[in-house]
Amino acid sequence: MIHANQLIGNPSMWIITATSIILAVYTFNEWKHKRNYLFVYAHLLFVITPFLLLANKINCTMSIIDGLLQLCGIAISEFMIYSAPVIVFATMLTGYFIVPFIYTKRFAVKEVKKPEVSEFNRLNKANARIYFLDSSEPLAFTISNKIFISVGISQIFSRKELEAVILHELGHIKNKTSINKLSAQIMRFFSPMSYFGLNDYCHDCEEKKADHFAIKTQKTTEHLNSARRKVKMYWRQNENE
Amino acid sequence: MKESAGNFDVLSPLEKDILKKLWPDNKLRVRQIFEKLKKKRKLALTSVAVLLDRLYEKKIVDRKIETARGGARYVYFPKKDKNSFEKSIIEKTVNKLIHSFGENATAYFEGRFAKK
Repeated sequence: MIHANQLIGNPSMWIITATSIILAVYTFNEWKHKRNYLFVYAHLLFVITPFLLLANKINCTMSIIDGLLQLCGIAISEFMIYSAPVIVFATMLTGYFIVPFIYTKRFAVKEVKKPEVSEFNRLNKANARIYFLDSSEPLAFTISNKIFISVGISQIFSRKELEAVILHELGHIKNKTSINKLSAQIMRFFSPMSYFGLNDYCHDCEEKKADHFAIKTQKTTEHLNSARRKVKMYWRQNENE
Repeated sequence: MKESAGNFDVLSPLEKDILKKLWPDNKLRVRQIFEKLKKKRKLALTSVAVLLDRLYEKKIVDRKIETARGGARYVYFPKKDKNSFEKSIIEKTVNKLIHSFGENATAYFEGRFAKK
């Protein structure tokens, strides 16, 4: 027989309840913004499965509430508390070191020196670096302090358009948004609770700030807009051909 | 009839034009090919880039990366000369015809070349 005091006084019950509410709110929010539902459910399963496996391992019977409240609840709560800093550490390690290392050693062709990057580093006391990727697709992205630009982009852009793209990526470094983006993507994969930790992360806002930096430096929107049009045209033609 | 006649077109008209520009010079960048082609037809630089990528995927052309002036570009070159390429197309086309039409195709070729 379960008494109400057992439920209210048990800390693991509060943790499980809070987690369930957070997951439910997150699922509702994803549904409300018409994002990828299947990804949300897969995400939840990914998060819950290790705990179920752990409960099974220590001979918990999840279907019985008092078993859940006692040994299972404590074990699972401790596991969740300890796993959170490990996941954060793993994300930082991945974002700052592992992923940039893989890209520079495996995919990058060459590191180049560009005057706009040298000037940026001098003014902002930064250490931004540019690498060319062996890819014909028009790609440009930043991980940590490293900017990766595909060979494909440099062969269809003019010098000013390429400069606009580089300045856009430097804008991400200046605003320290590149690591936020990677962290948000990795953390979302591991846990929906990270959504609330990064609730001030706005992808569109960061892109606009980076655009603003490029436009302010070049004193025109012409080259950035022209670069964007060429990328759209490339992908449209790629689908049609 | 297992395949329609349209499946025997190997290259699009623009792909053929690109190859025609590549064969004489042997090594060209995207922008150089674009400059040569735009004299005769209206097209975009991105179209040339996309089609060169297609030809690369079809293993008709190859490319290497050239780095210069703080940048990197692909230099494209044909994998076979014009004669070898045309022979390989003819061989594939004939094989496809024989595979599709069987005895009718072989009979046609025999009759056609016998008359010659």
